[in-house]
Amino acid sequence: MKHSVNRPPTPDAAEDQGKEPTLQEIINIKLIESGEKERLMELLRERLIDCGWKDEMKAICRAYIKKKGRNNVTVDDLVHLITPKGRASVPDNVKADLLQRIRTFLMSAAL
Amino acid sequence: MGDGQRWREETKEEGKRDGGTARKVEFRTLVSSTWNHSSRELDSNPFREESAPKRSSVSSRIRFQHLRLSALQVMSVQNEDDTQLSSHFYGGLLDSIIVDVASECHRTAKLGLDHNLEEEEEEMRLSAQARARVADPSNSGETNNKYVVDIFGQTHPSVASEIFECMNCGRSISAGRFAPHLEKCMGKGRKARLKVTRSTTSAQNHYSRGSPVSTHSSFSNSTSTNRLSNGTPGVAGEEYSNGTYEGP
Repeated sequence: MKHSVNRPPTPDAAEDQGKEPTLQEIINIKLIESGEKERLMELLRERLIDCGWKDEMKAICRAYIKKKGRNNVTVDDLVHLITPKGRASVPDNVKADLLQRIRTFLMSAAL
Repeated sequence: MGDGQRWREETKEEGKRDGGTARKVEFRTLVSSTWNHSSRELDSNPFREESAPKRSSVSSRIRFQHLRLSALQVMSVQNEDDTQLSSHFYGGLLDSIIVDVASECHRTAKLGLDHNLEEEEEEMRLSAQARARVADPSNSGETNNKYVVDIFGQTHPSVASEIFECMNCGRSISAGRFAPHLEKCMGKGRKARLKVTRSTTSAQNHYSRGSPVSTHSSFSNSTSTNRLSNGTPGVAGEEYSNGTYEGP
């Protein structure tokens, strides 16, 4: 059966111990633990629905599925299809707002 | 400097207690070296004391410390790094959302819940056409002509005309005349009654599905007269003309 999701292999626990946590990892942990990551994700989701971005992406997906036939499409195909277009078509104000919030969080986490 | 050394000693011990993961120890040495490089006001006891409240565990204090220090690293560099970092996290959030949208679309399509794919469109168009025809005022109600027009534009004759075999007597019967035929054939009518009475001695059990005949006699005669007057086509009509049905 066709695998519809490409997963990278699970990292081995023994390998990890040689590495130090990078700055990114630390901040990521802080984001998750404080619940801020979840909040930011929900905010971004809501903004993208409101501005019609989600509908645009769904329309692109549907057109692709119609062309290929619905039994020949994997989730991976759709992800690769939408990612470049999706990243480019986020409205500037939404992107700026999110970046601002993340930066604020970084500052507050640092202090 | 002394502080930094003490720090290192502590952390090494902590590392041993924890089962001595090399990673923790290494990181703490990194932290302590950064500590040495930082400004004087930070390299002081009171700072460290206030950061470690009533917690007894050293590791949580250490974790808090290293977060502060790495944040210092962040701040010591210019804003470009900051922007890059926040862009990185923003990209992560956006990627997650994109995967969600793709997965949702994929599910909708595979389960056939999406009504915009081709085949459904065709059906929708047909039903829209049918609806238009019904709403069309030029088609009046059912009593206009002999044939009724339904919403698909099909017409049915008022009497069904398909012919098939009766399973009881083996005759070819028209579908429209099948119900009355069964009444006769299975024991409700006079002819069937005659069949029953003739062989009551041995075969009463066989005809148990026929209805008790005496009460129905007048009913069946009157209905048969009505039916004859319709002049229905097909073999069934001939059958009755052969029989001796007369009014009471």
